[in-house]
Amino acid sequence: MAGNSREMNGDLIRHHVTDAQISEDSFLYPLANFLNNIGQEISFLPNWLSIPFSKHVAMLWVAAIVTIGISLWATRRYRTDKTAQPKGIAHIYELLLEFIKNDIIIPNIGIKDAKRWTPLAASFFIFILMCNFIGLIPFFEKLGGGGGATPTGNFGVTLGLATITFFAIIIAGTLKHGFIGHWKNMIPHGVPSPVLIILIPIEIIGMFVKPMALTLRLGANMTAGHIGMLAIFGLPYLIGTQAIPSEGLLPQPSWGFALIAVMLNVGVFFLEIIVSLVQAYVFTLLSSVFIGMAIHAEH
Amino acid sequence: MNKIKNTIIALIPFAGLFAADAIAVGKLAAPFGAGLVVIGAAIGIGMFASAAANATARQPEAANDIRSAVNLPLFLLEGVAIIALVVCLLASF
Repeated sequence: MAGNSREMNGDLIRHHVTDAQISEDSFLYPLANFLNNIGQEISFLPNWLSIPFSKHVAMLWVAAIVTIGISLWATRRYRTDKTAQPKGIAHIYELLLEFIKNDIIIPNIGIKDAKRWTPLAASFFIFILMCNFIGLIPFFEKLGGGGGATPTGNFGVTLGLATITFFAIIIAGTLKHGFIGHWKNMIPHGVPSPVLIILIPIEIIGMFVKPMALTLRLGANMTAGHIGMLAIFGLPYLIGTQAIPSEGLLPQPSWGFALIAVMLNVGVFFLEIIVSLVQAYVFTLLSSVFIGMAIHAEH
Repeated sequence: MNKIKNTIIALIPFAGLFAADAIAVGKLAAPFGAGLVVIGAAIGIGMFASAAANATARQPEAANDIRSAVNLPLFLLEGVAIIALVVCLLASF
């Protein structure tokens, strides 16, 4: 950032938190080029099969591999012997799953369907947690054209996760009450007809608004943390000497304010760790609450 | 009354000097909205915390139930505040 005379404004901040194509001097460029243009590399595959591979997609792949790896590694003893003692990471994994099952699933979905919906909730929790933590590691700037950012800060990623919740709600209601029964549950009993004309559009809008709120909540929380940290890091440049392009002078940061900015950012970084944990928990909790509302539609 | 009217009429030509200020003041709207959002969310969440603390003080055995009852509306309220903050952020870029 000190190498070029960019101004400290909204464009610079936006450049560092959005997705970017993988640049040519990073080690992932051959893979990215191959996946982006599959139709040209392998002659018999059409071009619409190409996988658009950008910086956030690389981070998502790493998070997915870590999630699957942890899950398979922690349960490797149970696959051969069901009564084995946990060892190593299996302790933490078991604690996590007990927490999810007893405190998130059973109060909202009930004991009868808990076994069916715990895998989905656990996948949400661990995957979103890994994605949020990967966003805190400043390694991925080496890949792309901008600074590192959280993959779950990208609204496309959170929209995909919320779409899973959307279909999970419909599937949960269908499995419990039948296909027609799930849609009939939108209309509570004993409601006079004039109220129904208002109630049904509100229910239909609510059906779409609930996953939409999930996406915006997760994406905005993750992006807001990074924007805050970037703005605080820009403060020394804002206060120090400005660049004079005609004489070739670069902007000099004010070193006193740099010290203050680093100390503030350490605090914001710890807050970011807490926010990543809380946001993963909130996404899982709200998904299970909505699934529980579809299953127990009597009230 | 007449004096006030005359002074106002005399100042109308100087309105052009304040045009740049009007454009600059227009940029005040988005951060001002963000501040209002923070006031609303802070009052709401503060009332939640106060009610939860009061209820736990009255009946400490019900602490777990109270915590799970407060959890859900708390995060919904925080979500609303963050969505409004995103709208303010989009308006200021």
